[in-house]
Amino acid sequence: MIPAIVSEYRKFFSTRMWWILTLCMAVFFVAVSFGMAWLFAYQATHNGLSDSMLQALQPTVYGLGPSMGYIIPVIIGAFAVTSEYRHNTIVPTFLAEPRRWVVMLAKVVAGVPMGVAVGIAGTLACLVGGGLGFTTGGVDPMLWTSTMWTNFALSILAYVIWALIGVGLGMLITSQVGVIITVLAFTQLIEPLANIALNQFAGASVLAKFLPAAASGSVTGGTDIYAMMSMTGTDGALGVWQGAAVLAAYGIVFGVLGYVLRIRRDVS
Amino acid sequence: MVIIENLTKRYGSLKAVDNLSFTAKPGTVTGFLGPNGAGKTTTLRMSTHLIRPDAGRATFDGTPYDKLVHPARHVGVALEPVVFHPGRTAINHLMAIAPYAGVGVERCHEVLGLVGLDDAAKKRVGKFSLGMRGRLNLAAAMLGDPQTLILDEPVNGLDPEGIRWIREFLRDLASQGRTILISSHLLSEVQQTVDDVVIIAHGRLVYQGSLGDLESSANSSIRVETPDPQALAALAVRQSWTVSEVTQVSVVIEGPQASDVGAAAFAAGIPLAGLTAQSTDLESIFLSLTEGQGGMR
Repeated sequence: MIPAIVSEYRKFFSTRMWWILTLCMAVFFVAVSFGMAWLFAYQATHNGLSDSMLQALQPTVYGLGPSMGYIIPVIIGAFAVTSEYRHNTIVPTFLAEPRRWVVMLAKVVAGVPMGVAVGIAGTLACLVGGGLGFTTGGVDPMLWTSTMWTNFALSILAYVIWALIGVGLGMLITSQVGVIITVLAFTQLIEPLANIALNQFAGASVLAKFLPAAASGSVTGGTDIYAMMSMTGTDGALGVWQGAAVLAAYGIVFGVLGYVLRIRRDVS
Repeated sequence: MVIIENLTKRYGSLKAVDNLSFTAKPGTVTGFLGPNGAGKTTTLRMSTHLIRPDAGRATFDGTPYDKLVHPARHVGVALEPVVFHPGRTAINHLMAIAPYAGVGVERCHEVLGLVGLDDAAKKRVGKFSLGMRGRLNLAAAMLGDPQTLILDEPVNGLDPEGIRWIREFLRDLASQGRTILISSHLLSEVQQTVDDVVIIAHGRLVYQGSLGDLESSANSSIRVETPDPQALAALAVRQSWTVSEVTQVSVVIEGPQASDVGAAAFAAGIPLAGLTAQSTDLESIFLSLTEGQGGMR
């Protein structure tokens, strides 16, 4: 198991894809969180947004990463599998370790440092962008509070889980383009629509919090941007660890299905 | 020692590999030959657990591939098509396999030296020529210093110098007592490298044995030049030899040794102007073996 993990770790950090994606993501988050923070600060100083509202909104800005940008860790995690199928390097990989479940488990384990690396970059980007936005807007960024650091850690945790979901998704889809299309379609279209649809019905709205973005928002402290935008709020949002468990369940379901349906197949 | 036993793989009604058995012995280079589509790649992929066989099995010194603990330390495999992540450097490609082979960075540089790629260690594989990729593939197979090497079309994409290099390289490895199995669709490409040949066509074994036996199994024919070809042809028929060609100045006879023809002609008083033994070349033997199997599917 150890050789497989070391191998996966080396494979990941010896290509350029991960840091190019991470860099793009970080730049994007600095810009978006700066814009949002500045807007909220402007509302507070000019349009009478109350201090308590502002303080409730601040974690949302700092926690923007996992709820808005989880596409990036998902794609990076998925690439650990899909890149091998795309370049057919899955052949030397399975030659070196014919027990395919060992390879896949190693990809999951090696996904943790990947998730941490991406998570630190993404979270820092929001702190920097948001902090600068609030400061230039003329309000206290509230960066040096104890809850901020908890949120910081939870945000990284969310990234890690998303990277692992990505590994599972990569196992299920195995096509690089397929993963990107699926992730974009789901996060940008299906999930927001499902969120709205579920919230229309009293009985079904309880399910909305189990949608990936909502569960992710629960991990970072009920700061989900989509739940906020849908106006209905989350119907008794999940706790931090419940959210993490829901997300992990997605990853496990994808991974197990992928292993049974795809990974065990003949490689030719 | 590689032992293939009754390997079978069906794709629908087509039998890609049909009850195939053969052996590759230590200390020899075994050529695994057959035209494109004969089932060579499927056989190699079944042997290494990439494809699940419908029946049969392959063992390496008695152990199936998926039961080998750290296969890279026992069996080095380089399959076609050669695959690398184009953005990874040569040394990083080897370092990704190194943990499985139980080796460190020194051994990675060592095998790069072995295949003559020392200078390209930090180059991205996407910039490699076909020949360099082949060498890197071989270097990767050698990482764990395996007792057995399986190389799929190792000569593909190599220039004549590269072909000579790999020939000497493989001969040297075999002389150390290793088992080398190389596949090719052209006998002529590997004829100077291999000791034994395994020839398959349409997924079935058509020949297994030493290269020498294959050569001598060929029907040799004799071209006899004579001023009286009609008399010589009549003599050949009386001796129940086969006459395959009669011209104004020569007769081609199949079956006997050149000395027998000379003696018979001398006894019959037929003057001879020349006697040439014509052995069928190996490539024609190979073609006749592989084409006599029902032609195109």
